[in-house]
Amino acid sequence: MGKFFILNNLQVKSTVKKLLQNRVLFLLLLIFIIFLFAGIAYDTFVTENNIKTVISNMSIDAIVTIGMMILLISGVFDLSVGSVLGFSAAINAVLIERAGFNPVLSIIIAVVSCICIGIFNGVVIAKIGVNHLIVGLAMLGVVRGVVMLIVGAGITRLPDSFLVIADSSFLKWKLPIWYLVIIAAIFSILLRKTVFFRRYYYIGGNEKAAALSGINVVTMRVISYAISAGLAGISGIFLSSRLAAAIPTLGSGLELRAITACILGGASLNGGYGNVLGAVLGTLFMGLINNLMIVSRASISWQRIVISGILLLAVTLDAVIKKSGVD
Amino acid sequence: MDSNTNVNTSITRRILQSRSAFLGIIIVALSIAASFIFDAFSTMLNLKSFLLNLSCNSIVAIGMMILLISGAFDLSVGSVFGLAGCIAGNLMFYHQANWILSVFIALIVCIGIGALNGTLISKVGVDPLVATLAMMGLVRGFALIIGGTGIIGLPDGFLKIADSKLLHMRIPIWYMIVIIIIFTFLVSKVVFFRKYYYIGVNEKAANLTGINVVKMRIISFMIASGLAAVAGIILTSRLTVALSSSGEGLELRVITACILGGASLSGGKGSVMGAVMGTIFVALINNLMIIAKVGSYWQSVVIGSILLIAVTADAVLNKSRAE
Repeated sequence: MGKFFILNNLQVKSTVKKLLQNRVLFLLLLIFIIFLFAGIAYDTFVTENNIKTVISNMSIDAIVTIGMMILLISGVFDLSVGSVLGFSAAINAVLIERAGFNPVLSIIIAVVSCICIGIFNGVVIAKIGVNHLIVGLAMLGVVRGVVMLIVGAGITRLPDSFLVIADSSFLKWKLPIWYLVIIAAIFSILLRKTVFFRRYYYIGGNEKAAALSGINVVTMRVISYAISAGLAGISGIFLSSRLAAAIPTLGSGLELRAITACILGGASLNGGYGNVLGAVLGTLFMGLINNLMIVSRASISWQRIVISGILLLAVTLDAVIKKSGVD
Repeated sequence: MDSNTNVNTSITRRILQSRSAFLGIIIVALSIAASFIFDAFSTMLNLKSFLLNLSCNSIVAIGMMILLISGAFDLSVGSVFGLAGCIAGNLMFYHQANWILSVFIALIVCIGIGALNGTLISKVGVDPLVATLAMMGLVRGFALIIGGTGIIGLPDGFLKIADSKLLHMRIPIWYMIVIIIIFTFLVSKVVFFRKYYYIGVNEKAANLTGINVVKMRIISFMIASGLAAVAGIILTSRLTVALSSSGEGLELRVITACILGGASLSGGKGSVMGAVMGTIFVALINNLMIIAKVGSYWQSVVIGSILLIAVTADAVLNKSRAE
């Protein structure tokens, strides 16, 4: 009897461990708990309108987070994505409003210039060998400054043909949600199935071994920075279309939110871990917490406390589990 | 001829490598040039306000520098900076506490946050970036709750902390000078603090030689948070208001100053003087741009570009040396 109990206890322990280690399941469980309790406590939480708002609000953040996740899988990150998002909105708005460009052309120019920023970051980091945190930090300031110089107090009066991008609905869902679904599906397949993208896990796990086995780590890293900046650029277009304006602070602070969402979704700063679903669920979870705070009329300050507290708890548990595994 | 150029390049290299000397030369050169161009620059008033403004930042930068030397950093210092003022302000205004007691409690709480950071990072093994990123949000949230929309009407005793003069200079400047002298001495002469260089270069080797790395790291995080709290209290006293948003973005500004001052994120490099020089340099650039009436938007472009150029030059130099 006693022996059985011990065995059972061990099994329970290992199940809990597995659940905590599989961050996607863990997040799903947390999201389910939020729905259960918030649904009972507040009438306004589980309504079609509210859920749609939460998802369409988080969809633009989630696109940036997917790019950040690819970087984190390969063991680096990019602090400049928030500024790059603002940059793409700014360039696009200036070209449309002041230079009278066709929206399609200006969007292409904006996204391509963002990809160029990403390539620059990647070259400085991977080719020259500067620490990625410092490069991100410097570019965060430089690009944000340029954004402020370009848009000044902000540009409104964007044409309807541009606002359509985020304002239309398809099957009763706002378009940004569909953009997210498409982008998440594409990158999910790429990261799961294609050899090229699987290499990012290898690079994140052991960069030197990856380089020795013939992977061109420098090129791979430059491409991952280009993808991340490109996704940030696309998000900037969507966001400015939804807000019908390009404001100088657009996307500021996003870089840390995106990293937080990725870590919650199972990424590790040492690289080698994470997937697209984790990035999306991490962002959704943060969006739900924010929404819950608004619905429950808690002070706005509690949002940061709750999200940061959960992040701290998650990484601490991770570290404890890893240590107990080693011992 | 050949040896001559070799000597020349080695001297330029050495100056480039001793970042505080290099920055010192640039700061002096810039100041001389600026005093010829702008009448407003070399006035006593500008110099004093310049020093006063950088006093709080440089105190925080010294704490960050010690962390960077040991190969870690702390993103929560800006939030701790804000929290210290809010706790002290809240206790004095809403609870009519004695100002000395309030300041004391604020400092203790902030040093406790540093101890928690250090424990999580070195004992539990959480990545410093994630741990302090989470702590940054957590502490800022509490600062917002404690400080609300701002607390004014602080007692005179508290306001005296920053509002006195000594030898024609506002007292925060003296705090800065005293803290610089203490930590320069500690970091360059005292064995205990020299160990941080060792930990930064090779943590495992340091551990194997019997250095208690966990304890050392916890202490360094406590020092960083403590100095941030001291600076926060000084600023609150100077502004005569406890703002819950004060210190926002400070962590990245301070890391920028330290990196410019010769620190490396991989640890083992840097000095207190470097942290101070880096802070002075950033402040000087900002001051010059204000006097030259350049739009304030340019500040982040210029500082960011200088940071990028400095680290890229560093990496290129390191690579060419390795080859």
